[in-house]
Amino acid sequence: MSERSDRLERDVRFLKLYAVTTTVIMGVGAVAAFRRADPPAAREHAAHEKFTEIDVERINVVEPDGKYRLVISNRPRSIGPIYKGKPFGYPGGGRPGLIFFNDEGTENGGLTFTGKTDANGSATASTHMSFDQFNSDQVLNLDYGEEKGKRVIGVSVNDRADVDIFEWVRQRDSIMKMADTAARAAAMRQLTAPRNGVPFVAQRMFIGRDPARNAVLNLSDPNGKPRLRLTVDSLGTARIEFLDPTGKVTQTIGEPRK
Amino acid sequence: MSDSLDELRAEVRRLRRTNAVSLCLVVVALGAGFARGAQPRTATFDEIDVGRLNVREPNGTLRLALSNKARLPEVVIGGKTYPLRGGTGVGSAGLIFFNDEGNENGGLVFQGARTGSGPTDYHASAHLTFDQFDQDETVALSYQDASGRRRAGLTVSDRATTPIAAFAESAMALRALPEGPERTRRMQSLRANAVALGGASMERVFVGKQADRSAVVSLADAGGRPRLRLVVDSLGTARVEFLDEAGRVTSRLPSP
Repeated sequence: MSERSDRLERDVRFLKLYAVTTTVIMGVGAVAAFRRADPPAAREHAAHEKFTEIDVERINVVEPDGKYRLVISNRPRSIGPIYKGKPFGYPGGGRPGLIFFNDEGTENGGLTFTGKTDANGSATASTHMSFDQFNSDQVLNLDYGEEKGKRVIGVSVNDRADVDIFEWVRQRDSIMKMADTAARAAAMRQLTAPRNGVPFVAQRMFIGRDPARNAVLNLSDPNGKPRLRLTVDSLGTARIEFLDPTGKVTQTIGEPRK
Repeated sequence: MSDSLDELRAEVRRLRRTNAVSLCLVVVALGAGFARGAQPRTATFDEIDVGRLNVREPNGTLRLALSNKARLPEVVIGGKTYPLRGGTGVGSAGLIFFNDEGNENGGLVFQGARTGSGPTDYHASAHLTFDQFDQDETVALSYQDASGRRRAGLTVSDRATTPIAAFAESAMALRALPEGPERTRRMQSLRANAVALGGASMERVFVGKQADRSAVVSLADAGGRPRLRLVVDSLGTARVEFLDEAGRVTSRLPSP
């Protein structure tokens, strides 16, 4: 009897020791797991935090009412177009960089940048900063774009008709659902037609370097037709040209185009 | 004895139960803790003070760094980091952009500081630059000010069609040399061979104001030589000039 009770007491001592040891080990492990997942104060709403360095996939700068003001993001988490707080147009995921929003939470510009080489070693790259007309689209862009060795680099200024972009996209999407291809094409033409004589979009100014390697300054009429053009071409020939609305050169200063 | 034995047996049963329960709880907690590490985490702050913020792709590739001066990232060319900024007194803070392959492709940087007690003892600059793929600045929106000599405007440049990596390698080798005639000679040689090494920049377009206080639109040939220029100078005189390769004005409007 005494032997059996001794063994029982040893068992109990062992079990106690085992319980204490495993609990301590597991407890330490659990704390470590949560700490690894959570840097200090990352979960709760914090008023003012200080860090030496932060790694993040996306940062939203929001107004006190929660509306976006600026989104800084990598590619997959990048935001799609937003109009008064509502997503529209196309999904996010393709615009790494910075996207700006106005006081009503509507997108009003951005600065995005991409660049990669395909399997054939051909580079596709673009860096694009744009400022949008209110409730519309880009009216001032600073661009570098490259595809298959062709580069466009410069600044463009656009006129845009007073068309609400949210309403326009809604109409476009319903037109795209039309089964009758002829009717669909006609509706699309009407959608992009001038409004009260104002083109849907017209480039008024471009200054930069075009795909033909010319250094150019184009000033265009409200229909987007260049009327005054300053060029230094890839061979170094300089000219100033005045053009009519059909694109015909009416006067040249400097060496005429060959 | 029998009483204490029963007590012992009861205690053993209790301990076994406690062990099983605590083991289960801790395993669940561990699992939950580690699982959270793998899930997207979001946090809300009113304000963050930070030395540097890295926006990274899911695989860890840096996409954008927003940084103070001290932590501004080094240049990454062809997947390799070049310590070209450290200790060179570039001294800017701001945003540095990286492309899908993790190579630097632009930035928005700014600086400004007094260099003495005089009214013009300062330097200041701000640059928004877009780099050609695997190359350097092709678009720049810049303000540069050295003690009141200011240039501000937009520059569009042609860059080499070959990557800038060869030039960067040569520049690094040069920096490793001690000061002296050999380094000076190699520096001159590097500048002379900049075109061949892909380090040259040919300014094709400038629009803005020059250090001589003229407002200009300048269009240049593929070699970066201005050939057509619209100028309103500091005295308010306007002219259009055509120039030859040597920089001589060959014709001007209005005629002199």
